[in-house]
Amino acid sequence: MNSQDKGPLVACTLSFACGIYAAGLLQAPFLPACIASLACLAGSFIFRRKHVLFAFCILVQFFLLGISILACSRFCPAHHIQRFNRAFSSASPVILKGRVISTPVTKEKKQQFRIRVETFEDRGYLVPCSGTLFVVAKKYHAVFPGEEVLLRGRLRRPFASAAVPHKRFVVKQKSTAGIITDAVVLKSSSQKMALRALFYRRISALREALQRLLRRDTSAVCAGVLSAMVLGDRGGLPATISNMMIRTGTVHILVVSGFNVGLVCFICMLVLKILRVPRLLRTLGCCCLAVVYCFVTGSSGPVVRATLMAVVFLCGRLFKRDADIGSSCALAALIMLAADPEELFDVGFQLSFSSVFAIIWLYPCLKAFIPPGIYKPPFLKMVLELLLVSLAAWLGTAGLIAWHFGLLTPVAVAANLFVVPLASLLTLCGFSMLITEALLPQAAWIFAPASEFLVHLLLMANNFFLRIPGACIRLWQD
Amino acid sequence: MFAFTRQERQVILFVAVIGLVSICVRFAFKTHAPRGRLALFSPDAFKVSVNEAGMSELVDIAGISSSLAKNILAYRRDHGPLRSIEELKEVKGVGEKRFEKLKEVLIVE
Repeated sequence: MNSQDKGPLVACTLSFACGIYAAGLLQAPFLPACIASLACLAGSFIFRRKHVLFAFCILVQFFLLGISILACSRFCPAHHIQRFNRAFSSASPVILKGRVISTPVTKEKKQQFRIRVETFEDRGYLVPCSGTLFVVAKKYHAVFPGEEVLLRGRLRRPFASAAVPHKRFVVKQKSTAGIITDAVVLKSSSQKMALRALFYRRISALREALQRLLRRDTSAVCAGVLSAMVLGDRGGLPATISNMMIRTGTVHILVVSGFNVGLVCFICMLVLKILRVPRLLRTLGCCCLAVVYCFVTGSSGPVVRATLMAVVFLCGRLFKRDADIGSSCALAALIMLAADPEELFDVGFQLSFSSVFAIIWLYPCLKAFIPPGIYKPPFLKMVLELLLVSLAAWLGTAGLIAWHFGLLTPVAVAANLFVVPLASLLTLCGFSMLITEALLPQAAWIFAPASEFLVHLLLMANNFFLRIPGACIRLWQD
Repeated sequence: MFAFTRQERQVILFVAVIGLVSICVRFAFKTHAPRGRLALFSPDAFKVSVNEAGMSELVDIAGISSSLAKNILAYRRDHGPLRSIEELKEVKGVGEKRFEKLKEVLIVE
């Protein structure tokens, strides 16, 4: 397979993403984009034997598909909750019935999740409606995705900044219709969607059991860091630690991503290989475990990307095809954007893909600048390569971080050189601890002191890099 | 310009057709979705009948723990169905404050 053959999927995905971005900027209408897309599709069929014309038509086609999918996703039907202005301006709380569509998270003692609203009460009438709402509940109530909930709360527009202190978070959560503040969950029921709710209940129970295992032999800070790195749960992580890591540009280690998914797949493959399980079953088992791990960690953007890439890679190996990391990454992006085009505007999605693409394409370019003679001592070669990977990832994400957070972190290049190996060791320790706690609890204490020591080193290294003058430049206040 | 192989051309065309069709179908569903009918709202519309609810239904209600649900079921078993919502105060574990919350979500039919 030559390098030319690896481009098409990446180009189509980029074109699709550009279409979504353009639709977001221009508020493009659905019908013209759809008709133009149909015309381009006809063009692609006509010119399917002419390389250049076919490539041009198909790229334009994917661009227009991007526009169409976002316009369709943002289209507000007549009974959309957004259109009921009176409900939004009402001073008194409203009663709503809907279905939970996201995993609830607890922040600042408040529970936050999204619901797809079905009916609400308006001046003595039950009004059927549609749309997505972001809920901020006053108290914790055990709700799971797929469950039907009955809520009472104040309905507000997401951009009514004075009334809603969660503006940025709501935008990030893609809740375009509104927000319910001071919500009280009156009732939740899993009877109508038993299978999905049951699955999420089991996943939630598994996550809690794993968190308990991590907490058993470690301090609160160590358990918080391990929980964030291994299970993607940042609830137990002190805010000072995550703020410090944001300012040194190393906060990405607290996000579950490719390394973790790769580790899960590797451990699973190794165990199944030792047990002499046939190759097909081994691959299927590994894919299933990766998907379960994705759900346990909350199915955030980076972990979904990594899981899709892992599944593509494993399936490719099964069919004896070469694994091309750029194409599998592009396929993961295409699937995620087709499922939800609003993902493109999510910071996590942007940072995850930009860092991977930067490492894939920028790293070889940077490596070409280094004279070959410098690679003589093997240790220096390893350090230089790590530094170049770190630099490539930083160059790929610096612009986005500056744009979204107003931060420029030049120290990240050097900090990642120390922090990433430490974080990798810590993740390994975390997984080893989980496995031994589950299989042989008496031996689990071996990993606890090692984890404590590594967390201590990690924090010390971060603290050191933060003290360097010019480590973090704030471009503007958020 | 990159080159598509014959297989790639077929797959990409297939994906493009499926993508376009599914977007159009989704849009059609959004614009022509059957709208539910407006109904007169009764304050009791969402309430749960305390005399008919089982363990799982009671536990689903915010403010009712599994032990309180057991107490309600035990009260029903010992004294028969509740005659008024105020009788809920007789159940072990239901104080004045909790009763005020529970009467918003429970009903005696």
